[in-house]
Amino acid sequence: MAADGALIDEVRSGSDSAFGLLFAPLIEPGYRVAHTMLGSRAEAEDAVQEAVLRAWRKFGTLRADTTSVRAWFLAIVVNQCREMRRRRWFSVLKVERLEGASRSPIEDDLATLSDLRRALRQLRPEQRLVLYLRFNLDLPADEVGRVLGVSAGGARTHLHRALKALRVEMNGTEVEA
Amino acid sequence: MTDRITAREIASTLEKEIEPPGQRLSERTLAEVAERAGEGRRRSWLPALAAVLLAAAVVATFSLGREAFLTRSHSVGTPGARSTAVPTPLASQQPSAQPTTEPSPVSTPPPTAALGLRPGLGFDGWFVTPDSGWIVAKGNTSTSLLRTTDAGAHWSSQRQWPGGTVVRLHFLDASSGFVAFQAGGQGGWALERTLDGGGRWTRVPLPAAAGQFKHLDFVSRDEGWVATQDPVSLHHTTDAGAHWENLTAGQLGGPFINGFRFDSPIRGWAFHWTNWNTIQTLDGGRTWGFVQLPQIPGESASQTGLAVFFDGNSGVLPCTTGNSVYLYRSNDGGRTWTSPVKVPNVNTVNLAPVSPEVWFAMTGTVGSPVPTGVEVTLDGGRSWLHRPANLTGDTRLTGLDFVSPSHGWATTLGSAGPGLVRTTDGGQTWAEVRLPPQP
Repeated sequence: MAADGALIDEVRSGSDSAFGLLFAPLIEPGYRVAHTMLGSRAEAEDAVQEAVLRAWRKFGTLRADTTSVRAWFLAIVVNQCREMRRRRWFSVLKVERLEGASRSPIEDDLATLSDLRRALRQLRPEQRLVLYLRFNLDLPADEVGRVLGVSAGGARTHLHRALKALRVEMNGTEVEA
Repeated sequence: MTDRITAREIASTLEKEIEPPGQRLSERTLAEVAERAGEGRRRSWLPALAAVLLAAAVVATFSLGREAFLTRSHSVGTPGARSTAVPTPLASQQPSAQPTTEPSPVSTPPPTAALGLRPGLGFDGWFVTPDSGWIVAKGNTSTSLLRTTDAGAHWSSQRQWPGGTVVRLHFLDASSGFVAFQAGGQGGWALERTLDGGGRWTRVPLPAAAGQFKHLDFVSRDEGWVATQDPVSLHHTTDAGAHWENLTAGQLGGPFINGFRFDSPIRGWAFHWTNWNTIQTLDGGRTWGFVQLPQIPGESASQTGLAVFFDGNSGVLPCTTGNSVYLYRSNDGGRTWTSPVKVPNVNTVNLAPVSPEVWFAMTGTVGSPVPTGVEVTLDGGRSWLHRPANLTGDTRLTGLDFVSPSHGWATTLGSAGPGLVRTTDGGQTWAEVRLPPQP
C-alpha cells in the first residue's frame, strides 16, 4: 500500500478520482471482513457500502501522517458491522446462521476441516474476525490493533484468546499458529 | 480428527465460509455510495473506478445490497448527486425518447408513506392506517412479519423465516400486499401475495430466467413490476405473476435496480445512476425520459429522487445537494415543476409526504448534530415548523412514516437498541411501541 500516500494527498487536495482509486481495492477485503462478522452476503455488502460512505465523510479526520488507509478503512467496516449487529432486533446473529453455507464434496470428506469449520462457527464473530485479519489478510499485530481499536499488544491478546477458544472447541487439538 | 491445526488451515476454512460477493462489488459500492453521498463531484469516482478495474463499460449491471428507502411506495429519498445542468438525453443504447403520452389523472392509493428506513437498520415496516400496519422483526434465529390492527397494542406473527432473511414489503391497503423474501439472506427470492391482510399468502411466480430480484412495485393486486440484475431487466405483470413481460430486454441498463416506483399503470420513476437524475415513464415502463427540473439557485450539483403524487396532478419530487434537501412541486402531473423549496434543518432525505400541503421531514438522525425530531409544513413547503422529539437519552429517530397529518410511526436507535415509536399529534410527542420478543 505504499502508493497510498500520494493518493491520500490527492484526495486531501480535492481529487475525486483519487478517492475511487484509493478505495476500490479495499472494498472486497472489506466485504470479506464484514462477511466474517455478519455471515450474510447481503448484510456484508450493505456494511461495506456504509463503510465507504463513512470513509468519504470522515476522510478529513485521517491523520496527516497516514500513509495507508487499509487499517483505517477496515476499522470503519468493523464498527459498521458492530452497529448492524447491535441494531438487529433483540440480539445478535447466531452462528447457526452459517449452517446453511454451501460445502464442497471434497471438504465434506475431510473430517479435520469439518471439525475445524464447526469449531470456527462456534466462536464469537469478534474472535473469527481477529483470526481472519491475522491469518487471511496477514495483517501485522499493530494493524490488527488499529482495525479492532486496541493496541498491538491488545491485538495479540485477542488473537491468543481466539486461538484458545478454538482449541477448546476442537477438544484440545493443538493450533499451530 | 488430527491433533494439530495450522494457521493456513484456519485461513482456508474461514475463507470457505464467505459467500462470493455479487458481481462487480466495487463498482456497485462506489456507484451507490456516490449517489448516497449527495455531492456532485463524487460522480468522478466512476471514471476512476473504471480505470482501476479496466472496465470499459461501467453501465448495465450494478445493484444495491438492499432495497433503498427511497424506492418504497410513497416514501421519498434521494441518495446521490446530479448535475443541475440541463439533463442530457438517455444514452443511445437505451430507449431514449421523452415520453409523449400525456399523463392521465389516476386514482392512487392513500399516501401512506412507508418507513423511510435506510438500509441496514435491522427492521422494516409498512403502515396503511393510523392503527394498521406490518413490521419485519429480526430475532436471534428467526425473522418475522408482525401485524398490528390496534396501533401497536397487540401484534400477531403472520410469517416466520430463518434468521437473516431479507424481506421487502409492499402493501396496497389493509388487505392487499406483497412480500418478497430471500430466506436466510441467501439463494433465490420468493414473492408472495395476500388478499386478506396477511392471513393467507400465495406464491407469485417471479419472471422465469430473470436475474437476481432487486425491487418490486405493484399498483394493484395484479399489476406490478419487478427489477432484476444479472441480467438487468424490468418485468411487468398484469395477472399477479402468471405472465411477465420483459420491458427492457436488457437494453436499459441500471436505472431500475437502483430503485423505481409506479403510481399508476402508466406513470413511474426511476434513478438513472450515470446521469444522477430521475427518469420518468408515461407508458408503463416501455420508454423513459428525463424529468426536466429548474436549477437550484446557488447549488452546483444535486440529485433528484422518486416523485410522490397524491392524485393525478399534485406531487412532490425530492432533491438533495448533500448538505441540504429541497422539494420540487408539480401541479400538472409532472409535466412541469416549480422552483424547489428548501427543507430547513434537514440534510438527509427522509420524508413522509401526507398530502399536497402536509409534508414531514425527519431531522437529527444518528450522528447528526441537529436535535432529533421532525420538520413539518402545512402549506406545501412555504413555511416549516420544527417539532423536537421527546425521546430519552441518546435515542434518535431513524425512519419516518406518517399516515395522516396527525398519526405517524418512526423507528429509533440509541444505546438501548432499536425501537419503534408512534405519534398521534403530528410529531409533537412520541410514545414507545413495544413488540413481542422474537426467537
